[in-house]
Amino acid sequence: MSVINRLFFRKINFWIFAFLMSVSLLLTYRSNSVFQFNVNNTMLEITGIFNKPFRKWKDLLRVKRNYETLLKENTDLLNKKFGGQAPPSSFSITSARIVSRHTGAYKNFIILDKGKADGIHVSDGVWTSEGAVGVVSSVSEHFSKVFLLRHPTVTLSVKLDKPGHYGFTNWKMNGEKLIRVVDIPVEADVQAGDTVRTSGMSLIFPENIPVGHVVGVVDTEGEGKVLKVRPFADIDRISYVYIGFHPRREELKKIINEP
Amino acid sequence: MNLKIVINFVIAVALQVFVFNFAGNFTNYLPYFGLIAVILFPFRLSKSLYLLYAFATGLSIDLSLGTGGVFAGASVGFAYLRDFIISRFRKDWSERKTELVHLSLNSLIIYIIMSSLLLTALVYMLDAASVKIVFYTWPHILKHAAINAFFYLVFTLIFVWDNVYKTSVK
Repeated sequence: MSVINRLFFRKINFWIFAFLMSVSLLLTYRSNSVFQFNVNNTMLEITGIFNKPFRKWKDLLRVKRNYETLLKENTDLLNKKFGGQAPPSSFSITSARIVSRHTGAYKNFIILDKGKADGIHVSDGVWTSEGAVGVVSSVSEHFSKVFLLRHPTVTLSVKLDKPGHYGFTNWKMNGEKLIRVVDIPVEADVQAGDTVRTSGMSLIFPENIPVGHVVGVVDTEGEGKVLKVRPFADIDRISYVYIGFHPRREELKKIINEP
Repeated sequence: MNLKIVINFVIAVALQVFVFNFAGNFTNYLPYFGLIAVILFPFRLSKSLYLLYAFATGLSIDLSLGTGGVFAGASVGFAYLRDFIISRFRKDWSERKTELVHLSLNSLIIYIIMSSLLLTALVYMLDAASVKIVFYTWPHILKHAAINAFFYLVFTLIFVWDNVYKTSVK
């Protein structure tokens, strides 16, 4: 009671002043647009100052959602980019999340959370913004299996930065983290550090998707050069990938296989 | 004394509404004559009553001008700050020994001018919802306060201030 007496009754004039001033300000706010504008601006500044420390934590909690939003936007942009190239390049691109990964000395593959229901097909190319990842090997209704570049059955058509030099990737089941690029002409001027990219010829990947950089050159005495390439995409760190499908790929495959 | 307060209120608000609001159409500076009632409120009465009285006076002017609660806020602010301001200048005022009507002419003029300045500044600040407006528009505030002070002094000297008659009788 003494607290109420001290805080309220002894300062009754102040409380009356505060109440009447509040009523006046409220009446003014309702009738004066300049007053409203200035008050709203001031409240915005104050809210901003108080919200700033909390914004950091809110943003941290929203990282996953923001990432997925950006991924979707990126997919749409890639669709526009590769869809707009000269025919026959008209890839349709989807994004997917890696749900499990199996990497080791032998067969390396990952499982994605998209399947037939999402428009994924066998032999679709899979890549990230870092570089090529692998090729879809089997598809179920809602999942797909992707053989990585370091899988004995995966072969990509690639090219070197310097024009005119094309080859194919493969990987020997030797536990190495490097892949090989074969069928490079003997006269090719290739050095360590050169970048290898997809050629776009097989319609599995769009053209110019980075694959890796050359770490070593092996001269096979007249049969062409073999390059040792370290892939750009680090499969242990990525969570989301892009998958590209070209509608004319099967047609191309058919005509290649015809006698 | 209480009847005098009510009469002051009625006259001030009536003059503001029927005379000065109309006259304001011909000048850039509308005289805030109605606030004289707030300035002339006796020192010795309770502050709670003064605050309520100031609010009622200001609100009456606001209703006539359609300004929301600008004059009500300015009047309440002045009522709350009056004691604090005048106590800085005259010791006897802070002890509420001197009534307004018994002040010397010099003190009365100083009090009217200071009150007019404070009230005008408060009205401008509340109208613009900004304290900085005082620094941008101080020439206008000074002119406006001078016009207000003129009317306040005329009214006070003619109808309120006793000393005029006492000295003339002497």
